[in-house]
Amino acid sequence: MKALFAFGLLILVAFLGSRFLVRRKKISSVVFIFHTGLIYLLLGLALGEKGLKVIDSAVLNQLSPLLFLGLGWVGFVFGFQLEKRYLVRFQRRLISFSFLYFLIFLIAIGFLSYFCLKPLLGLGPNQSLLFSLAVALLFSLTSPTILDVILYQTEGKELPSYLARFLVSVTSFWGMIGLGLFVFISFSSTRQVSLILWPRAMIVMLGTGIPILLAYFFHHLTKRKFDEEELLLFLLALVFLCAGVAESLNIPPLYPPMILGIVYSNLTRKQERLYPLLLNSEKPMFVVLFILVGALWQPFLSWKLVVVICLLILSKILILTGVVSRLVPFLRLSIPFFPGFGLCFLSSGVMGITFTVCVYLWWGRPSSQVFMNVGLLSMLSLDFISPWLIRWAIFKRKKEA
Amino acid sequence: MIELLFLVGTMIIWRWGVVQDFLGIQPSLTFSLGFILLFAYLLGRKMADYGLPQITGFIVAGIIGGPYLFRFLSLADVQELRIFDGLALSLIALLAGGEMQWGRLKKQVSSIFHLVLWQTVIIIGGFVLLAFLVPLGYFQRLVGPFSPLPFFLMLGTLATATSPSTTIAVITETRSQGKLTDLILSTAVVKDFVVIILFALSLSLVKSWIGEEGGIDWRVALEILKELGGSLLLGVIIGSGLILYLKFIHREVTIFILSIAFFSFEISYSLGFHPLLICLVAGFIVENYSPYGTHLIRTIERVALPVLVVFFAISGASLDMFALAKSWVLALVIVLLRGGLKFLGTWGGAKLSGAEGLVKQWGWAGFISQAGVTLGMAVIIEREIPLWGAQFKALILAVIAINQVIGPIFLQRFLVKSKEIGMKKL
Repeated sequence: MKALFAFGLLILVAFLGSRFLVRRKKISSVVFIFHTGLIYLLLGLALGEKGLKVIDSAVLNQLSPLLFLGLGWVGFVFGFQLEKRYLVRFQRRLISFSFLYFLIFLIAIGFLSYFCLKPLLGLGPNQSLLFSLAVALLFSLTSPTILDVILYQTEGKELPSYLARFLVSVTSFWGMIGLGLFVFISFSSTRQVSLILWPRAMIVMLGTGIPILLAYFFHHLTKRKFDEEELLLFLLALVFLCAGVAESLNIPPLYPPMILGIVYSNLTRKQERLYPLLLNSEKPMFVVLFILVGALWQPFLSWKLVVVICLLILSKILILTGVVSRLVPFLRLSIPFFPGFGLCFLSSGVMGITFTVCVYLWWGRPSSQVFMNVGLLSMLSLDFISPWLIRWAIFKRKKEA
Repeated sequence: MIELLFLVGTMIIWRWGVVQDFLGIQPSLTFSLGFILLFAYLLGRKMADYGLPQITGFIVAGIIGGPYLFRFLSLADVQELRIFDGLALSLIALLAGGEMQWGRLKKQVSSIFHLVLWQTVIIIGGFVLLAFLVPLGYFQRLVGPFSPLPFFLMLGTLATATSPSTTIAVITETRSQGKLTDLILSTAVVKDFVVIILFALSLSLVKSWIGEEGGIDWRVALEILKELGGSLLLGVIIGSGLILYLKFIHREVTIFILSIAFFSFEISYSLGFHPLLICLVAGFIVENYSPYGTHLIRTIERVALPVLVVFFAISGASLDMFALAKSWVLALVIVLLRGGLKFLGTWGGAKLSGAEGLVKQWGWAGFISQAGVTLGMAVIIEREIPLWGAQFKALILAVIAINQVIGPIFLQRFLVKSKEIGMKKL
């Protein structure tokens, strides 16, 4: 019963609080965290085990299906946007650019983390390798939420903005695929049975195959006449099933629902009916997810951790301004991007948070708590500074123009 | 049908021990929830194709997938998923309150009063009478070595109860609206409260008879009055809050209503109030004292389907099939007897209040379903009367299992006959 109370209270407080703040017309960078939903994360933290203990571990355990649903929902929504008919409208070199971006991060952040984390966090060689890989994948993720608002305020709907938004949206795809591969090479220590290589492959195959099967099933269900309530029910049930498959197989709960989203969006012709539903359900779903993630998080801070986080953030900014921005000319666009374009990729938002939680839930190693702290603190910091930096980059461009 | 077979087939393979051991599959509550949501809904839809209520399909799906048959859901899963009960009950009650228009309702006060009174008198009286008619030796051989009168008094009290949540759900599903729909719904809700009061009094009486405690505890009446008053007051406060929100803020109404539903259930639980009554009054206030009733109903209906499906499927999964298998003959006799007494009570009440002929003939069919409240009372009896509480609970579980499956079917028959199905336009 405490679970219900905690849950109702959290939604109400978070919702009412956000209402008054986001109604302001001029959005400051501080208030941006309401847009990205990160304030709910802090609220969950305040009410979790480390705070007021309203949401303790027993409550969290009871509400675990909702946590998995939230993670799965993010995966589904992301996957659903990757519709081939939409993607082919963009030049192939844009997709290649996003892949190149991913590779740069994988290598640069991966190496940096491997060499810095080992001495700083005292991890063993194997742990350090996996940890670095997870951090690199995390830092390659991007979210367009903040960019959307800023571009809308400053640029309107010009072509470069549209392309920048597209690139920032699709780039996370590689990180998510990387997550699938990461699962393949590193199984959680909580798994009881010892696995040789081929059953590992089988688990990844099942984690990919079952969502594909369910996507066909979803398509079959939505072929006949259905109303909005039914569609919501099907969607909820299938995301629950996919997230449940992930929980059962101990793979990250973002992955199977993303596959469901990708396959279904490419099968169906009813996207226009699903998009409004996804938009309407997005807010309640994210509010619940962030509050639960906040409650799950047990933050700790040490100077070593601060150094690691600062180093990673600084590296991301340097890579974005120094490398990614310089690669833009290779896109050979008719309307050039602005020089500080790379900073558009700075925020990881919802994707970063969910990725961190997925790895935390699934990893089950002692280092997963460290990863959670590095991940969430970095993501929060990046989301906090990105409005300033993106605005600065755009403003600089305008000044130069 | 292919969809259902696909789901069940997949689940059988997934839960097959060999597969689980080989792949190291861990039990997942999230997976179980996804399965039961989809399976129950599809089975409900299939049942609707055959003219049966969807709710029966949800309940049957719960029974099939529950811990007593296919075991897709374990007992622990069922317990964990009970967290949705509060949300579902609050939403159901808000919906019901939002459907009640005082203008229509006040014309039926006399009928409601007579139906509640005569059903209660005849059912409890009938069962008490049975205590004297059944030979003692036969009763003791069948049930256990104790006096039949307290046993039958409690049985009669519990037999009077109807499940308002099931009634509301069937009415919502069939989009019924009209005089007779209002009458059935209001009677079920009022009777729910009367039964709770009678249960408290009967329990005190029975405990004094069998020497668990001496004398009737009149403080119970005071407690019940407090519960009634508190629930009404809280309902008015929540209803007014909803009106203010809809008037001045009117944004993200879905989140707000979901939060209110969670909240009201939890507050009622903590304060010992009646959750169903609180939300019913809140919905009633919004419908009758503001122009937002339709908006409220539409918003709830948009999100209620998954919650209701899970709620009824889990209530089906909770039905104790072992208890039913053990005492199905006796349970069936009680179900038939209860049905007969319901008919007499409804017929008598309808005749005295001058209600329509259809209520006299078929009104009883609207009061067959039984669920949460009856189960809750059986659990209290098991705890409070150790002498025969366990046997009593087992029998009641079997009776509930039958009534909860057939109840929605009978209610839908009645609504079909009343020609009020599909009359609600939004």
